[in-house]
Amino acid sequence: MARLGLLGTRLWWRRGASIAVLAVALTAMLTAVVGPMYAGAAAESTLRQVLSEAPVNDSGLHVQADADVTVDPVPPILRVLPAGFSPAYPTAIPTLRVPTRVQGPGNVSAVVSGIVWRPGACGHVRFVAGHCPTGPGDVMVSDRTAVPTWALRLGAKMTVNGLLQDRVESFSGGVPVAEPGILRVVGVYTPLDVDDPFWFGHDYFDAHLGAGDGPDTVDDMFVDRSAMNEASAGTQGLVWVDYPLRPGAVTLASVPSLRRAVAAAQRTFPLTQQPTMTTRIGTVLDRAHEARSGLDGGTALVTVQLLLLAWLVLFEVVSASTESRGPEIAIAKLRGLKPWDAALFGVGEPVALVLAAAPLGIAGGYLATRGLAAAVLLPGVPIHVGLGTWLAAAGALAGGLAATILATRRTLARPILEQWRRAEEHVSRGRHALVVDGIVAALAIAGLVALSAKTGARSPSTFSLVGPALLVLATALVGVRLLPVAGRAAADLSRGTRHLGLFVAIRQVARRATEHRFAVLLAVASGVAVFSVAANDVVRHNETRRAEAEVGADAVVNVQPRVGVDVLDAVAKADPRGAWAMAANEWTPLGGSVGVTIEAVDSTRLARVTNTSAADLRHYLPALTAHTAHSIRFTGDALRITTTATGRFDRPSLDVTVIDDRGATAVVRGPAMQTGQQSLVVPVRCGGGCRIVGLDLDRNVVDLQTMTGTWTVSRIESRSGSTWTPLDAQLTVPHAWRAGRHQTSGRDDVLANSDGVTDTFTADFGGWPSIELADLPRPLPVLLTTDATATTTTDPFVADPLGRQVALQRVATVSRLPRLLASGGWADLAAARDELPAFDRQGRWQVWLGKDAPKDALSRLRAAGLVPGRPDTVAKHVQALRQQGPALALQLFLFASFACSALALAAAALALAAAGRRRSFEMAALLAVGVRRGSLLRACVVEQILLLGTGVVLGVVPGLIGAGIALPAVPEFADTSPIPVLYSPSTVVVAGFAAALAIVVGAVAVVGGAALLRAAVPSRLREAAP
Amino acid sequence: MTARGIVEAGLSMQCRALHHVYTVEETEVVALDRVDLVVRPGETVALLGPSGCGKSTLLSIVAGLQRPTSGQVLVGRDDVTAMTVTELLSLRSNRVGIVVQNPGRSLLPYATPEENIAFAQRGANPSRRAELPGATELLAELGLAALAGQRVHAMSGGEQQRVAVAVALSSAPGLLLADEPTSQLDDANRDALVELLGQANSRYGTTVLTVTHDEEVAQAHRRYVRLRDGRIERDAADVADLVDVAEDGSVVLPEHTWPSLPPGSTARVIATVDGVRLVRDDSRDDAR
Repeated sequence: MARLGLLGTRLWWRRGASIAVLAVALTAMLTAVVGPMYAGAAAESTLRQVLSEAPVNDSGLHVQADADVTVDPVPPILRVLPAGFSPAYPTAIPTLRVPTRVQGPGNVSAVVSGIVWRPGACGHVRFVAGHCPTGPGDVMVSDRTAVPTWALRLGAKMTVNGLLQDRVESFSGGVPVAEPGILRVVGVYTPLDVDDPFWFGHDYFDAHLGAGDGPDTVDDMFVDRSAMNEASAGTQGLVWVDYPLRPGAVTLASVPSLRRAVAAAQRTFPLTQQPTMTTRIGTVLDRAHEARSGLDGGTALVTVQLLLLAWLVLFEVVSASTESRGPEIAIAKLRGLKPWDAALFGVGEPVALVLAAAPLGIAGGYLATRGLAAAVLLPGVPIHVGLGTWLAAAGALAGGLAATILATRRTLARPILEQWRRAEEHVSRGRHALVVDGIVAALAIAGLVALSAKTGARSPSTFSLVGPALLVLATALVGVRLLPVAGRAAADLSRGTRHLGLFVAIRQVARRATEHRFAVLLAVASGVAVFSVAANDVVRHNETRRAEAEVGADAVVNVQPRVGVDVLDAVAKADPRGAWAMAANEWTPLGGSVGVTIEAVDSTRLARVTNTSAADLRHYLPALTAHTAHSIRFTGDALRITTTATGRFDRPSLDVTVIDDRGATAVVRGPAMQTGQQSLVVPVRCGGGCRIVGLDLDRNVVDLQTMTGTWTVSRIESRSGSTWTPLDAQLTVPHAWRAGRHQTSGRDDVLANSDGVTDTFTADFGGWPSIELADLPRPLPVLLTTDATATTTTDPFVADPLGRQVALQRVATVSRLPRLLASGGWADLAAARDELPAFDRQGRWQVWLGKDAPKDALSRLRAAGLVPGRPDTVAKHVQALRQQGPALALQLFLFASFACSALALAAAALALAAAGRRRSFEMAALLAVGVRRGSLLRACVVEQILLLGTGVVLGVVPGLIGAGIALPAVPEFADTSPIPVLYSPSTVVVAGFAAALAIVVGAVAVVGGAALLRAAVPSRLREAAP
Repeated sequence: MTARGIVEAGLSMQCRALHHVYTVEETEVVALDRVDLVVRPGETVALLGPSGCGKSTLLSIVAGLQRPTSGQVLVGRDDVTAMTVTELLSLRSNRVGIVVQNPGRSLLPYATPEENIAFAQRGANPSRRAELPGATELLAELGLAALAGQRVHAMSGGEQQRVAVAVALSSAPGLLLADEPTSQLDDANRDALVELLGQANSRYGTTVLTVTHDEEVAQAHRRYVRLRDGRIERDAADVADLVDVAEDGSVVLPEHTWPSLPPGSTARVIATVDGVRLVRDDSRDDAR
């Protein structure tokens, strides 16, 4: 107990040094344990991020079969695969769906839809009118469906041919017969969120116009279970059960069991028979694993680097404090304490502090990890203190004790008389240290060279994180060696000047080798810190660049137009000035020479809406919309075409193709054309406005011979009421009209002259003469990526949904396109719609929102007749990128490097303070002989600035150079993506960090210098010299 | 039990042909030149001499703090020069006590005298440790009870040095080595310290070997040995026989010799091999 009491007295006696050692040891322990705890939490966060972001139908399970909906086909599936078969799949959502044609009352077109029972559906919609179906004859339709077009309004009765109902008909003699079901609309709904996981990604809300003459498709209609139960026996439909994943139930530890459970479930549903089970959870988990890659290695490298630095600082701090206890250790030997007792006495204090720091460091590390996780990771991610943490703590403790014992070794071994004389063999130890420094520097350089040779932009490696530290270490070791040389030269120069303070400071720096070690530590810490700052700045910048490229604008939202709503018109209505919204359509052709997704963009709005990822693509836009004529728009009920025709043809009809105000294309048959001059009137329904597309001479069906001849269109007029108005049809403008499209081979030579536009034609059987206005480009100009063109022929083409080959004109090849990245093409939206009539129905409509979009942008789109889904935003992508392994490791690097920099600076300041006690005698003597206090204060401050500043400069400069070497090889942003990556950190950020460091160093120097001088009182000279 | 009961009744110390050379900037310096010295058990001896004469070197060799170039040192019957490091530690913890010039090198500044004593006794053999005097008791015996409980750093220089003596005696050594123990003290503290050293000898029978340049300190010892240039110049029983010859050649005779050679009288100077003899000559007085 007496010994413990004395230990406590000693610790309190040297409480400054004790706190320093405790702080350093605590930091070392904290650094060690934060690594594995953070890595574990980050891995969980990444997993959760990927699982949360994955489409619900990717991460969930879907079991489906054809079934008789009246015999309750759901329970057999649930018996095989019940809800909760795995904790990750706690719920099962059954569905019965009967694909059907639906006929509303009156003479309206039938539509295609699905009659669906899905429990809970009513809770995920908002009722515009009516209520949720409750009985067998009830049905609810979407508000997009309840429009006059199909007469499916509230209260209407519809005939559903897929959902048969038994009815006794007059002809059936009292025997019930299965007849198309009759359902009454009791509710009109609008989905709250079409992307809600509840819907599991099924196409319940896939209303679109029919292809060709086919019926339109409307959103699915929802019924009560009883509607299925009471359908006619044998009513065929689909049964499916969805098992949505609960991401919060999946942890890293549970992933293997999850995979096993899913595999077992898959085995119970063989692919060769029904029901079938589909899921992509394996791919999602693989993606999560890939996202985590680099995290463990990166975190370990970061932790090891900074732990080594902390141990070095601990070594130096303990060495300095032990040096100050040298006289007491000599007393122990003088009194004849046994070697182990004297050694225990010598190391007792620092060892006790290191041991005390262990639990504090673990606790502090836990709290620091929680703080870091709260700032960086997803909310609610648990922090586990697992085996890795305890092993790291044990390793840190062992390393700290080893550093402590090594640091005390020299003082413990020093003979008593040597301690009293304070005479050390500078020469031999100096040479020894020089050799060691040289070897370490050489090894560091060799390591850096090897790293540079093995890694690079094409072969990224997490080990590149170590590169800057190696470079800084080598530079600091060499640079600090040059410090005394430079100091001596500078001292000679300043000797003859009047600046005494400067002379004293330089001389001190030149001769104080002990403090130079701390300059090395400070250099390494500064270098590592500046690298982490630069790396994080580069990461942030490139994350934003990548996210912007992945999204294309500030946000992109999938939309579905209501019936009769044209998306372009709706966007124009919501944003008349074109300042923040742009319509786009993403379409993947069914075939062709370029099997990539085509993104059709509104070239008139793209420049204002897109983000910087498309900045270098804007000059291609004119090529996408190149045309030689302006559109011809008119309103009216007829067109009168004046034409002169010669040649051999059998009274073909003059057909006019127009696009009405709803975007629908109509080919209007006109009267028959004969040779000679004539004016033909073609009735059109363009009261709301139309645009002329072209004119055809549709052959008479009995005319099987080749048509040849010429026809010249000299005038086009429109009639509104009884007034004929000539249209500016650009008939005499060269290239304003061009040959139209043919079904089979044919030829139209179109030439404009003063009489009008003349088509010299030859049309074989099946073809017909055709001219069209060149107000949109053809072939469809596209901007293709390099990957998209890799396997294409000179003339790329796509196959549209009707099977037609549509030629494309490649205006340029680029490395990447926003949203499509390395593989895809851009086209102008208007041109694409014109060239590919099925484009509207087959593609996915989007609205791109620019940075100036108002907060109520989605409401405005809704009011304009669009149903928006969940926006895809740059912020979400950035968040996802930040949750990837290498990014998370860099976050830890930033936090830990700042902690160690502060530690190294504090240690350096403490070392200077420790040396200050010896220096105070010199200062007291100088004061006693009459040197001015101001000069000495300047000397003290300048000395500290020189030493600490040298450390910072020797760290920051090579740290930045090391960043330039290492960053291209860091996996986070190795050049493996089509998006050009920038490796240069922002000058402002780096300069700001360097300035902040300089300010801190300056403040420490001023405070330290003032404290040093404060201790230099004349009474010091009466004390025994230390 | 008091220290008296377990002190080895004073240890003898013997130097035989002790020779020590050290090198300073490639120059060899003979610190001790084949010194022979015997200190009897229970004796108090002062080592006198100018700075650099080798007296501190001799003391440090006796204490086992450094090895001589050649020669032998016996403490009691033990050859210090042949001891291992462990044996030397045992020597200092059980048999030899050391007081140095700077009390900061003898005492833990943050501890009390009792704690310093307990610390010093840690190295004693376990069988002996239980019999060592308690700190309070030892301080009382040495008249230092008033300093008990105070932290060393709060004491004056004289108090610290007296405590250092107590600490050196706490292991009940048979030989006490004191290296310039009074050089940083004023006269009053010096005298108190010297008295303490005397107590150590008279109360416990400890052999005391003191290095000093102070004649008055040397006078408090029964014997003095004067060193010069690493050799023993004089080994006398009474330092009072020593006089200084001034630069003009004048000498001040000790008072006790005045009856034989009164001031104002004439003496014949007879040169001898190792000095001069003064013999009273009344003939000149009679002639006057």
